[in-house]
Amino acid sequence: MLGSSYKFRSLVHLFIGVGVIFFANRQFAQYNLGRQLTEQVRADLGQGLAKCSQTLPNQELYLQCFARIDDANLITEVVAHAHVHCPPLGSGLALASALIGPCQALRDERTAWRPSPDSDVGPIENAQSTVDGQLWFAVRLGDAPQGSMLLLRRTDVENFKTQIWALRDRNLLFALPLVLAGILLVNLFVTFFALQPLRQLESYMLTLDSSNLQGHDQPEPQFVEFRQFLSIFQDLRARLKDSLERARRFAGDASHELRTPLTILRGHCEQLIRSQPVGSDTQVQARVIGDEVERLITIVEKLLLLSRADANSLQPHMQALKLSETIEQMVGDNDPAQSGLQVRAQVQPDIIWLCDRSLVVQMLHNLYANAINYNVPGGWVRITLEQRDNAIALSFENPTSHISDELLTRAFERFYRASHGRSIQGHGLGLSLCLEIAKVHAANLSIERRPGEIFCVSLLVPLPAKAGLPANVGLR
Amino acid sequence: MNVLLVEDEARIADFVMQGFAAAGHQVSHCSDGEQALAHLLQHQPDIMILDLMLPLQSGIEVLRSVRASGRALPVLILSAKLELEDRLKGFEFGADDYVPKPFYVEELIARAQVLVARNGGAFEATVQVGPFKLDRLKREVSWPDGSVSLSSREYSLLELLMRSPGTLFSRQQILQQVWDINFDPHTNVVDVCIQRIKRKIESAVSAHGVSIESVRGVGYLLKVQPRAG
Repeated sequence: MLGSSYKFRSLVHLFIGVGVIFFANRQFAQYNLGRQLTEQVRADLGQGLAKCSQTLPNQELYLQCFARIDDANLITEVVAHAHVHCPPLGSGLALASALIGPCQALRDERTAWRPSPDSDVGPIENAQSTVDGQLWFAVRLGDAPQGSMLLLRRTDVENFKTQIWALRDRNLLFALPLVLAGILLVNLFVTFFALQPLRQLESYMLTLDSSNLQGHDQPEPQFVEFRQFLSIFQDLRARLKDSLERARRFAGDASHELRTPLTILRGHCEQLIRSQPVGSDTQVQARVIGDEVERLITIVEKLLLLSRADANSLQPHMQALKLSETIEQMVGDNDPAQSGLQVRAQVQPDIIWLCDRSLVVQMLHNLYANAINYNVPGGWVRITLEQRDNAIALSFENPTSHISDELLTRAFERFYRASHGRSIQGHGLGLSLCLEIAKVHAANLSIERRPGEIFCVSLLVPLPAKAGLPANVGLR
Repeated sequence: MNVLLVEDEARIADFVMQGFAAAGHQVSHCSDGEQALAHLLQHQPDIMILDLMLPLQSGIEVLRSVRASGRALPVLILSAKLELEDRLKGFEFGADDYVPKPFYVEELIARAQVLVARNGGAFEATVQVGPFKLDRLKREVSWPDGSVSLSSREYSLLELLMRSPGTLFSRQQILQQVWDINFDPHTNVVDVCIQRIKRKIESAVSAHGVSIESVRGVGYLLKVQPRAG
């Protein structure tokens, strides 16, 4: 699942991080640029005042005045292109026309403003006027010489702001790949180190199987945060080991405890059969009991085999089996005329499989018996054996009366029997046993429904690399 | 054949001894390992049939002591422990054969005979029942006025029947001893094979009074009818 992937979540976190950075950057830039601009303007004003020093003696007072105007949130809007102008110096300059309005306004609507009661700043006169679409401010200290005033032009603040943000965004656009790469690197770095203990644990877990669960070489937690996690894992491993041990012990104990009474039952039953007159009723009845004992033995042997498989203690005794020959013999042992079925065997000759002969023969007989017993009257069985590039493929196909979805999903369950086959001899353990036998040989056993109600069981045996094979094993 | 049976389960020992006795062999029985070793000091059996899970001394310990004393006595292990590990351990300590429980006495006797014969260097090339002679090398059965060759399955099945004429064998017993499978494949392979053998020896049956009889619901046996006169 993508949603549960640590990498996917990291990516989501990365995007959230980028969003936060954008927002923080905007806020920070807004604040910082505003401050810088204010400082810059103040410096400009300072320079402007310095130029006016001959005619504007109270520079400090003006500065204080601008600071107050700044407090009133005017300077930040005005200062960007503020100009300091001294009428006596600039009267003949280009800005002369701009001065007319504010100067006139200053004369007409003079207002006096005192910044603070304890300040020694004298009354400040200020006025504003729009000249040529631009807003101008005129400020003059009450005690300043007549005619000396500062004029500030208010620029198009919105335009100014747009320019500022455009500049910031452009800078950010250039910076973004770098920022992203940086974040990604940091993220990868952190992820790499954060996942290292998990990777260590993963590689350790891959080395575990049923044979080495006692684990003398347990991984040491690299970080304290993983101690608890590792401790839980070790606990689980110990419990798994105990369960497997118990299962193994059960298989061992049960085999002795069940086989001994079965041996006695079979032995005495056979003795009874032999002691009776041939064909007598007692002998036939004893045979019925004997057959049930055999049935019981078969079920017990299958269950013991399955319990050994569950406990991972089913150890195959590998031998080279002439698979083609075994299948041909199995088919030859049956008389198609007696079973009323047509048996077609397409067997590639000379295929040899390195396997546990006894287990594999049991599996083959089981699959073949299923194909015969779960067939339709006058039906057929097709057996195909071939060796492909790196695998042996064996399949049993037969038509059958009904292949339900339930059969396809539950066929490998223990004691499951198809509803249409309840009258057929069997215990419902055959296919589950075949599956375990296939697993123990690292082979894949599967079933499928083919068009025309054809039931197909396929066995695929992967072969080891040819270089590592003993002579002729798995090769033609 | 003189057999030493070491088995702690009396009810198993009981029918095994009866089976061997019925086949004309002498059997001594010991119920634990120490008793078995004491018996071996005074007797020279032809073969020892040894259970693995014994009181006092385990079967493996008995086997080890026997081999340590340098005796070449054939030992056949009889055990309910079928794990590969157990079987290999048995062979590692010098066992000659391993018969898993539950077993058929007939199979046990047959295997014991093979081991004793091998140990004594004897090899029976033929098995004879009345005028019927089964050639183990050529895999053919012959009678005074004819012979027929057999497939490996047919040969094994006929050999089983001819080794114990008059003994009734169930299908499962035949499957285990001829097909070497200890489960019921739910197919009619035994019946098919019997039919094939019957067809092959058909001409000899009426003339020589040896036939394979099918006992309905019970099994098959080789019947030898006494010749008149």
